[in-house]
Amino acid sequence: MHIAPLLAALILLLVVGELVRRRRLREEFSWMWILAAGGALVLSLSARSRELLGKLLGTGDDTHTSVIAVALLFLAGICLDLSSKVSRLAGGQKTIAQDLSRLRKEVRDLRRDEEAS
Amino acid sequence: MTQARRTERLDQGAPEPREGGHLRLLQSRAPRVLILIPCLNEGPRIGALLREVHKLHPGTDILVVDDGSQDDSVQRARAAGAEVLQLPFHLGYGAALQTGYRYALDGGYDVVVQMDGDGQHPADEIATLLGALQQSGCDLVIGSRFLGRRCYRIPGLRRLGISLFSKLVSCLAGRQITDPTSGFQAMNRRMLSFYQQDFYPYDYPDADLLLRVHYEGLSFQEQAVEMLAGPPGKSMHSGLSPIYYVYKLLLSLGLTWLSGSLRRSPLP
Repeated sequence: MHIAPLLAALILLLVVGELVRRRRLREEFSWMWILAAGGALVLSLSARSRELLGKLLGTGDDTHTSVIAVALLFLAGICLDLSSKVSRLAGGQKTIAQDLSRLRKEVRDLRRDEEAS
Repeated sequence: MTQARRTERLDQGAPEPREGGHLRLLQSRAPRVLILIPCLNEGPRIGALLREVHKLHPGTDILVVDDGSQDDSVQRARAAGAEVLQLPFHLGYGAALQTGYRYALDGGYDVVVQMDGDGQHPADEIATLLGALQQSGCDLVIGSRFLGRRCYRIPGLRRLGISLFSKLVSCLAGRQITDPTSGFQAMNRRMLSFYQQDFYPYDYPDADLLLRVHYEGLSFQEQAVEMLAGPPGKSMHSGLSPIYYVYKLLLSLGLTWLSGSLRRSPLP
């Protein structure tokens, strides 16, 4: 069992949960992150799974696999940040779309009133 | 007419109300009622539904929120005399409803009755919900398919899902909720103010939302209503969406329960 990856996986799970709770990460993105954190958890707990991953990646030993895992974790952090930003932008997009629909209706009603008068 | 100003009295055929601040307000003047219908590709059904609602509730404002339909739903809704808000693209069932809530708040409506545009919610049950809202003094009344001796046939897997979430949310809220996925509801302005906030889900405003309502201390109750089977092959839950739906609701219920009432959204 490797402590550092175990901690990283647990922290990732907590961060994802907290981001969803604070509405900073939409649920539709969260399942990927929970899967990723679950995968990291399995890798940290099981030497067999690390060996298998090492074979799949062609790295051969645990050390190289760990280096790759750290690099992937770093990339995962960047992607999580981007997911959070996309969630925020999606919220803004929803508000704009809702406002647009109401403005369209007002313009339509005003035109109708103008034509009627 | 920029914004329709027609009203409908709640007390048509409804029992005597109990005492309460909200009810006193309703009694002091005729409350303005808005019937809200979110709509996505309901072209073949929306016209008939609107005509039925108009027939049973003449003079009541009806708002159809079109969630990016690809068919002629908008034209048919306008032809049937409804006001229409047309979203520029598909946002989701929840976002369409919230568009209507914000419209109702800004338009000064006192009560909103929301119903689906596929004909699943019979227009003659609107009065049942309005009566229950007035009589109970609750902020929200949810039409339930499963209360009383009503019988409503739904496919086995879907029934299992509804039953699971019903039991789960009842357990977490500490009170029985028989139909947490029902979209047939009536609510007052207090509830509209709560629902117009940013937390309101884009897609499925279901059991997790009711739990949040419960934690916020807003009052709600279920009312037995008849519902009809939806049109065949027309469901929000098709393809892989049921899997996501179950995942999303479980996650959201869990987080809402964990949060409890820690982060209460301020009510205006």
